[in-house]
Amino acid sequence: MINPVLLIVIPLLLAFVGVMFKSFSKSLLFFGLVLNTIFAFFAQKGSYELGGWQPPFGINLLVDNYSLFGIVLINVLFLVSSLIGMKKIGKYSLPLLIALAGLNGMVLTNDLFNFYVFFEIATISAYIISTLHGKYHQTFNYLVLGSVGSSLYLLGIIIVYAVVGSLNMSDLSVHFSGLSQNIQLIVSILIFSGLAVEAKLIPFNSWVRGIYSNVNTLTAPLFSAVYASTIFLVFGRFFSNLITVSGPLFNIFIAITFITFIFAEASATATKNMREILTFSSIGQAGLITGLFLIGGGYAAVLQLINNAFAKLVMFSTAANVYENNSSDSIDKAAGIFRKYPLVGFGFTVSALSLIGLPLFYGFYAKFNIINTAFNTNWIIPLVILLGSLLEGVYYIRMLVKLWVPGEEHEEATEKLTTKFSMNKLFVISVVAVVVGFLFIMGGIYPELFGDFVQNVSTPLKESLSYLSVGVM
Amino acid sequence: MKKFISALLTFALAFFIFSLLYDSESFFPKYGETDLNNTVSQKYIEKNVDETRPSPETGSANIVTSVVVNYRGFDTLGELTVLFISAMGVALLLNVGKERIIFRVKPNFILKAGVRIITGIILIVGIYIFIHGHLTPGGGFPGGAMIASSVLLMYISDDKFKEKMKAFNVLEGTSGVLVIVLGLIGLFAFNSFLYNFLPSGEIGQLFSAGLTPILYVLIGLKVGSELSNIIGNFLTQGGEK
Repeated sequence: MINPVLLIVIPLLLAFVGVMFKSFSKSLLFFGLVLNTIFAFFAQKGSYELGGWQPPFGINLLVDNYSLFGIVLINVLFLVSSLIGMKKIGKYSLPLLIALAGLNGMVLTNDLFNFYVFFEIATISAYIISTLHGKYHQTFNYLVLGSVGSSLYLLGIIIVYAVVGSLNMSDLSVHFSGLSQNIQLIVSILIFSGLAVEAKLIPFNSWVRGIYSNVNTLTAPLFSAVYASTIFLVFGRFFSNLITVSGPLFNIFIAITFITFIFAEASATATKNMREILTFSSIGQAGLITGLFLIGGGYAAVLQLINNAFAKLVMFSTAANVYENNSSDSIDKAAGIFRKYPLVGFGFTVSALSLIGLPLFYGFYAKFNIINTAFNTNWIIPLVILLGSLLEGVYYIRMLVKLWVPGEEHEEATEKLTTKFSMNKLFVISVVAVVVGFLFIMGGIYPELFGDFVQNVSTPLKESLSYLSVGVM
Repeated sequence: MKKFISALLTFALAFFIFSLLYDSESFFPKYGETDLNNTVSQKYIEKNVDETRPSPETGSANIVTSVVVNYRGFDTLGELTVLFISAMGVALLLNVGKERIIFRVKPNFILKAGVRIITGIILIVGIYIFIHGHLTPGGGFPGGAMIASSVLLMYISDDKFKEKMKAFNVLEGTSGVLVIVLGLIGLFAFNSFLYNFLPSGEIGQLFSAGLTPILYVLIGLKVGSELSNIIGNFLTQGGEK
């Protein structure tokens, strides 16, 4: 069977080859993406030693249901995003290959320092890829904040190593509850703030607006779907398996995540640019999903993670496409654009409605479970989630109505009024939009299809990690 | 005002971390008083992680090298990639392949003659450092940095040096590919990526420690060529896109 280390090594190998043969780098990228996507489906569960040293003395990769789902999701989304933004890749195929290796490594590794290395690889690639839109100042801002975040994480694991004496995640997950209160406090704060920069939580997220509001068709799906999903998956791993937070610190963390959710959703109602609205919505979803992981709702969080990843994939690439063709993505000016492109419009609409959580769509099932999980904690959290969803509904439905119905109020909407705005007739976007749309509707009608699967995925989050019980290939 | 606030924040963070760790209840080991018996490092020092391996299990006289290239070799591959992607970022953003920066002061005779003497010495020391990485302190990263420093000297003294830089791309790619190929041989023959499949030999000999010196040479070459590329890119003038 396929050793999952290949998912990390093959993109690296292709990138090293690509340095020598620059003209083939784009074909190498797609070769690597396809190969990785196929391999991800054939990876097997287990613990894989590197260098032949048993953990915790060497590094090992841990493939349980959760990380298996993670690598499949990441590789598929990465392939789709690169197909959507194929024209924009240009010289950036090698950073994309490295980014893929880094993201796979982040999800697979079972070693705290090895995670840091892959975290660095993935974020440095992200800085480079984000220069595609030419806003260097924003990239610099991102770079500074991202570096501070990863340094905080590094400081956290230095303290872990000094106390636990090992860098293995399984060791930390077993020993964490036995550590003294002080160490628990400092380690959880440092690791939380380190990850929060990438996870877009307030007050660590000032880079997001600059990067996300300027995306193009390549970076839009890449950042909003691939990078975002990876960091949520990792966040879930850290704060469900490794670190258990309790007491006042738990309340602070929860407050941070849900304040992020409400603030972002509220800000989204105030702007009228498609990409800006989607940016705020992404920040909001980040708050919601990380908050769910914190209160122990792994199942609901994974449901919403899937919902967010696919919905944002379609919506962000559509918005970026609109911007690229018209140098503006103001909703007012784009009114009625979906009349001209009904297929994309269908996918966009279903994604938005699913993200809000309306019945008949997959998102309803997710929201239903979210509220259910939230009621197990106290009455404030479900209230906050409902309020946020209401705000979400307001701006998304306002946006959808505008985009489908041209003309002023009281005016009869006709084809003539439809905006002069255009979109590239990208075959990939239409196909992705239609497929995702149908999947969301399917998931809404037969929730059991996804329910059982996600249940399996989220079970490893409830147990502490172990590397010895599962067989080695 | 901004500086004042950031200084204040830094002090607050420092005080917070210090007070939490210095507390007697925190069990944070004092400097030099760590109990090694419960840490993984004890086994690295005694070289008895794996009972079935022939002893000495890594065969490297330098314990840091054992950890960096053998026990945690995968991290080193990752670090190489970090350097690789950073070099690539410099190349992409500075838009390479344009004119070399012309300094206002031309390289004079003394500089040219001096560089010819000194680069050879620096190169040899750099190569010595990464070949002997498993015996003495040092290794691929410092050795590579020394190689790059000699390249920087040549770059400053020689106007025509730019044309020779193409070779570094090939070196960078080949050494990276070879590291991974060696790792993959371990994966397919011994079921574990980067498995040290060569005999470890006698500690202290030049040909000992199995795969470690070979990997360190490759790492040294890769780091050297990457850093040289970065230098080359910084010393070229970015043109219009």
